Amino acid sequence: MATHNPFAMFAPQPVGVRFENQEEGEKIILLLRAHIVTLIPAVLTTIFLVVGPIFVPRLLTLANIDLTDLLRGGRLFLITLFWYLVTFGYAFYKFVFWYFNVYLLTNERIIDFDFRGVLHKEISYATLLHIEDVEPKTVGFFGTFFNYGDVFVQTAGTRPKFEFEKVPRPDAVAEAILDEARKEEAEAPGEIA
Amino acid sequence: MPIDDLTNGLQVILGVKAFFVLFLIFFAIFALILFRQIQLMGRSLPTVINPYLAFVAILHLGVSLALLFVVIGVF
Repeated sequence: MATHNPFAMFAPQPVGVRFENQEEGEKIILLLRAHIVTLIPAVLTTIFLVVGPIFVPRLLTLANIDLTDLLRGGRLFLITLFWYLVTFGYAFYKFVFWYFNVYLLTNERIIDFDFRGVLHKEISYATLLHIEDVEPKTVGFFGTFFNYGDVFVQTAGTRPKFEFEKVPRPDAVAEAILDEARKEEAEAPGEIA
Repeated sequence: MPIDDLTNGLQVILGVKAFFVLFLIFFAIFALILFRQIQLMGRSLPTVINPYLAFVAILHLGVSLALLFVVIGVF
């Protein structure tokens, strides 16, 4: 069953998604992002930043601080615009960070797109033949309640361990990886199917 | 208004302006890097919403720069 939702966090056979260095015949079996619940702290912070300025005049009045002289001539408008620009920048950055931190399982390999901060981008690949062990792990109240967790993939490649962080349905992910690895082992060397 | 009060008021405004200008310079650099990252990640992982993300990032950068110039000129 193909997934059409571009924001899906667990997307089997996503439609309209490709990646750099994708080989001919290589198909994306599963696309994963961190569970949407992991965005709750960022959403709460954004809500706080959005409603914050509403309370500032009351707090200033309570503290007997009068800024009417300073905030004349459109300055208040500029400060408000500045505040909401920064708020939007924060929310947008958090969303982009979530959106591009993607894990892919193809019929040939697993790929980890890491976008850790604005100055750090890392893409790691491991072929399915190099996978030695897959370990799903669900920890904590939220992890158990919303069914998300980490999937550790032990490989024999240059990068010994892949970590799919906070992905939904870690058991199903581990099963899908092992399933594809088994299929890959059954193929003739160099075959892409 | 006594001359001392006027001087103090001007100093506060200049201090606030310097803070905003400096912050907006860094913010514009942040917006530029974010735009560049979206472009690069869009090349690595093209999806249907990448053009929209890039558009929003350009808008974000544009508004940051516009606000920087307005603050330098008007504030």
